[in-house]
Amino acid sequence: MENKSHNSAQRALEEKALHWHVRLHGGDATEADWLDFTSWLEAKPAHNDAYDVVALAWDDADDLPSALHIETSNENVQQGNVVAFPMDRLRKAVAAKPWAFGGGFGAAIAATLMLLVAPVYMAQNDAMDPTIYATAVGEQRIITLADGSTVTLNTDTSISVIMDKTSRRIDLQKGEAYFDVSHEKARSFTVAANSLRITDIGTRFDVRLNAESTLVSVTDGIVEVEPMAQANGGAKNKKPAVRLIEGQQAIHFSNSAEITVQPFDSTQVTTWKQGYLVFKNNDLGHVVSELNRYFSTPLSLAQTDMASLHFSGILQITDQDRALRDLTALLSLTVAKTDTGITLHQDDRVHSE
Amino acid sequence: MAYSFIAKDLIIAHTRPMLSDNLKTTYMAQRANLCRFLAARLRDDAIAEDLVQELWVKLSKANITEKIDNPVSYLFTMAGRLSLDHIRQRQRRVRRDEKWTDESTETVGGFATSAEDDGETRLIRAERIAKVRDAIDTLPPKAKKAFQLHRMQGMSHKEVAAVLGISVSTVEKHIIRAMRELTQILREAGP
Repeated sequence: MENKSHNSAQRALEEKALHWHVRLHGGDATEADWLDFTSWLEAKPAHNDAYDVVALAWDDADDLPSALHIETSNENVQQGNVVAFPMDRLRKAVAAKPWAFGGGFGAAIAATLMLLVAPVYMAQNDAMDPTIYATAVGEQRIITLADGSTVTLNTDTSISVIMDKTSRRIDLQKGEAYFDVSHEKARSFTVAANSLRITDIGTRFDVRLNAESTLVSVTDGIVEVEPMAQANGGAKNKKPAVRLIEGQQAIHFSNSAEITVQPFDSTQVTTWKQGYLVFKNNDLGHVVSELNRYFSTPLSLAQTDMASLHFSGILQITDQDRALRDLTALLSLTVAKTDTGITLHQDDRVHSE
Repeated sequence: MAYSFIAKDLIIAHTRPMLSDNLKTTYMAQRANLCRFLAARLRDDAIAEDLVQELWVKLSKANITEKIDNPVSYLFTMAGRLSLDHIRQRQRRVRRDEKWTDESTETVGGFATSAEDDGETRLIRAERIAKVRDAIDTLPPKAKKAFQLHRMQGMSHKEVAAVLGISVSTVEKHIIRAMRELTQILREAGP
């Protein structure tokens, strides 16, 4: 068919475009290379179209923080060769594209997310001191662990990590973290989160500590969750651990023995990693408390009854002004800055002086 | 044997704008070429001129503290990125024209009121990214590693070759392979 031959011609052009792209981005491309490429683009509109496909694919790979595994294969570990990623390399990676941060979606968060991990060699016989990673309010960070697992820390979060021959143990001390775990048969991966112990079976999941509850949301694979007291052997009537699969969320209140399992909306749980929050008919009170996790200047409501206003929309968490602009525009609110923070008013009410 | 990773020293602080003279000089020398490249990508001379100007502004604001090994390539790569932002905006406009005409008056249509990055666009992008991620996950280990070092760590092919102990041409082969998978999976996913 004509369509088919068109497709194969298209593929051939894309293949050509791909080779151009790889050659130009390898690090050694010269002015002459770029000009040759420009001539190729100018030669036929179809060339440029084919290059769009390739360039967009390349660009999409830029927003892939969680796919960034630094694989430390066994042979590397045994040779003490993990330090294959020296600091100057990593700095260079950042220096290579600071300009990218001005770009479209994901670019702003890339600035804060830009993962930087420096491998540090610890003496062989050192006691197993945990390594602590933390973020400040408004900061996010991706940590790549020695086993290739990644942990993305959300705002105001702290974890400690202990890895040894038999286990990988993370303690989520505060905040929220998203785990992307490399499966290992020999070493279990457990997360202690307040009142819960979470055991991973090769997967991706989010754990969030609230004042009184712990939330575990699985986006991929399976995890097991049990109350800490039981995991430590404290409980007499041992119940089987709760198994969560993809799309399920466990809620545990610190003072309860029960774990509630329910489905969850992944767009509302894990989009923080991309730098925004999704609200679907949520109370304004909830929206404000969610936003306040990310910004050091606190947001409050002028009247308490405003808390029950409903809001649907997407708000950025990388830029408070931007978030406020969107929120106030959608709900017809006005913003008043005070010494201690920012207050939201309803437009149709008279401000007190 | 234990390894531990500490990130604190490496958080980027981009506060002070700095532009190496090297890049400045290269920009001046390459301005016409960059403009021609942008015009070829965008098929619009006026926009190309705008973008080459924007490139200068972005350069001036960026905190470039390291020496750039290949300033010519750096600038063209940057220009490519800018043109791509523009191309994405065009795609969004087309999508909006197709889809949003009757809904945008609703409150929830507030999702669509921001011309730059409405919610729908973000979700589409998020889906694409998920696909890219899956594609990378399914690559053979060596190709995957080479691609990650090159794409995510910003290493040149030479540097990847040195780290992995393979030849530069093998690195290229891996990167091409990875890119082929990516373009294929995204072609299936649509724009």
